[in-house]
Amino acid sequence: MAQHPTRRNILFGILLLAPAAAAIIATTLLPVLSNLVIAFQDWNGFGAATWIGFDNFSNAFSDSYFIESMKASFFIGILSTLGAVPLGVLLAACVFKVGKYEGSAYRVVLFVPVMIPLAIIGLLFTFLLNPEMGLINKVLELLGMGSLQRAWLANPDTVLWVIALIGAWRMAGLTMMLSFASMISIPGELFESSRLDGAGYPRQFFSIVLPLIRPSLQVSTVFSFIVLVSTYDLVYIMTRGGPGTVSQTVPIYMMKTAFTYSNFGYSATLGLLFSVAGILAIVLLQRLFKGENYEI
Amino acid sequence: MTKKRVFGLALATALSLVVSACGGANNNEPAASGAASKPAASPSASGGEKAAAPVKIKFFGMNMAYTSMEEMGAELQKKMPQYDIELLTVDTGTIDTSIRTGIAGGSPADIYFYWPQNMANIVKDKLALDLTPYLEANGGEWKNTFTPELLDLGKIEGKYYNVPFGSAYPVILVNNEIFEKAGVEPKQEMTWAEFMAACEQIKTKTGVSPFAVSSEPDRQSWLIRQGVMSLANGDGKLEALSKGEVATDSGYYETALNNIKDLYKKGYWYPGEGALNITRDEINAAFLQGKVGMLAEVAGTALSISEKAEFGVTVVKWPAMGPETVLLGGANGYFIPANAANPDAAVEVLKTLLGSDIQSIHLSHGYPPANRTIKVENPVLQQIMTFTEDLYPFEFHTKEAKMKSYYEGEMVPNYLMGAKIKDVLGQLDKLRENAFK
Repeated sequence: MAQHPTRRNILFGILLLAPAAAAIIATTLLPVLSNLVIAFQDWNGFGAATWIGFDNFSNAFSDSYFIESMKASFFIGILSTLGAVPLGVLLAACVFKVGKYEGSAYRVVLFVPVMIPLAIIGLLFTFLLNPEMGLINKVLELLGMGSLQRAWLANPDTVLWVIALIGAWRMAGLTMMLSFASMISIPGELFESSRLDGAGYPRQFFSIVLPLIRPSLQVSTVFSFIVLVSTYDLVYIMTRGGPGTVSQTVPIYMMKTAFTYSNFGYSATLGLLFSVAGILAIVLLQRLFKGENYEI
Repeated sequence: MTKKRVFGLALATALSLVVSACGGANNNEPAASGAASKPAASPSASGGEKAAAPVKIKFFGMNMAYTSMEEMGAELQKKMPQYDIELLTVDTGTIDTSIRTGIAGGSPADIYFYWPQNMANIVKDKLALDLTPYLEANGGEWKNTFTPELLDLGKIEGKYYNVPFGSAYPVILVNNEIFEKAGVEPKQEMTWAEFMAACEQIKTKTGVSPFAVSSEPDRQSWLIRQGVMSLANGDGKLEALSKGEVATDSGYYETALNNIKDLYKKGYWYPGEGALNITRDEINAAFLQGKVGMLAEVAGTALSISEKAEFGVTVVKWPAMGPETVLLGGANGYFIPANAANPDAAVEVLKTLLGSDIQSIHLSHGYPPANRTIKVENPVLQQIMTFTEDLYPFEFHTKEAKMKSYYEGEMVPNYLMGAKIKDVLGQLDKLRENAFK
């Protein structure tokens, strides 16, 4: 039977938590609250701020740059997640069937993109996608598919797709790892009994594995979406938001608004609106995954 | 269900934190430019006292496009052992963001690289220190070392906010071998029609790309900016243009945009479709590899690039869309932020850096200095320096950051990607009217 903590224990617990709580409040909570206040102000970052109520918000809704950058961010976020999650599950399903030692080698290799800094990934793909000397166009030429060659990052029709694909490639490793971790905790008896009933691996995968790893899929989907929708560095390194403003995501536009146009108040508003849109998208994702969860 | 909600809320909060934290900033307020800042301290009193104790100086001025920078930086440190000088590399493509982030963050560098002719924006936001008292001390001892035309570029409402170290304007480097193969004679001055004819000859006879300019906003915009300036100059409206008095229905913008579209659509702009995302390093490499007939670069780097090339290089003027060429630009220089920690020490460092000893190193690498006490003897440099007669450093779009960003970075790419002329020019007009009302 559990004992009620004594007052002394509670105080001791609070004492232990206090430094961490203070650090979180100082480095996270206060900046967020400060951002919330700035969102209602006209502030150039240097002089005195003026309270302007909802002016920044009404400007944002009629700001075509903001609307277009929202579209770009969500296009990258949604498309990359749609690519990363199925690819990650597929990779996990493959790795799950190979031997213990080969499996661990594959897992390391497939997880490497998650560990590479985005700036390096951006540079790497900038070289690969170079229209003149890049590997992608050279391979297409060698395969006799020269007509498919493009200036991938300078073409307004391809630039967002390419960035989204790179995002998917990067995050697939995370889904793979999380899915694999769930898969190995599935009891072997379930596979044995289904095999006796004549089920092959594909059938086992869809009828046993997928329902049981759903919580992990939910986590990796939401996490991938959060990371990819708020992409800044990858896009900035590869295109700086160009050509023109075609690949300008909300974080890039926020940075420009704050540090180039010296409009910190409006930038804070954009951040707030973007966060609200992101939260709504996450709630929607949660609903999509709503259903019965099975205990392993 | 409750767990799910808690989980959802936690993730939502995480997203909110990550994103919204980008919008906030430190509330450190710099002193106002000039009057309220530190230059009032006697310049003459600065040297001795500061020299006694090592003072940390953050020098955000290492523009590595100049091969002389490393040697100059080393010499600067050697000459000023009393200062601990941190040499920081400049990326001109993101310089506005770097400067404003540093100053807003309350820990700016002591010296920043910037173009004197573009200081209006910085001064308007009260980010720069008034250097006039330092320049005019001791009967203008420091002021008299500069070429007056270049020093005056950083003068706003009678006060100096920037000191120049060299002139900066675009030129075109010609690959003589490619021109010879194409049967084209490099001309010192070209009209736009002659330039396009040369491009056509190069493309059809040699197969290489005729022309390259990098896609960074401060580079690709040379085409539209110099085009419009040249066209306006033909009608005697250059000054009116610089004052924001020329509307976009003047015809200059439309003509210039269509000329640029022609260049792009005909595939004369290296590397074709990818021209809107090509970097400076890539075009310079392509030029040195003989893949490009003409390279757009700043005058200061022309000599060093031509010395690296394994073929003959001729430096010519930018082609004129109007009757004659008008060159944008002016100078490169340095300013001290209004909230610099050590303004007096920063001035001492600038005096040494821009003095004849260190600027002679700059010249030995092929860059004409703004220090007029140094004599330029290289004939190529002397020729490039004659181009300054076409220089007109005042441009309307630098008055306001949003207009600058649009005019330099968005207008031409948007038009080339299919936006309607009415829309792209309409947006510029709105920005212009807002900036000059």
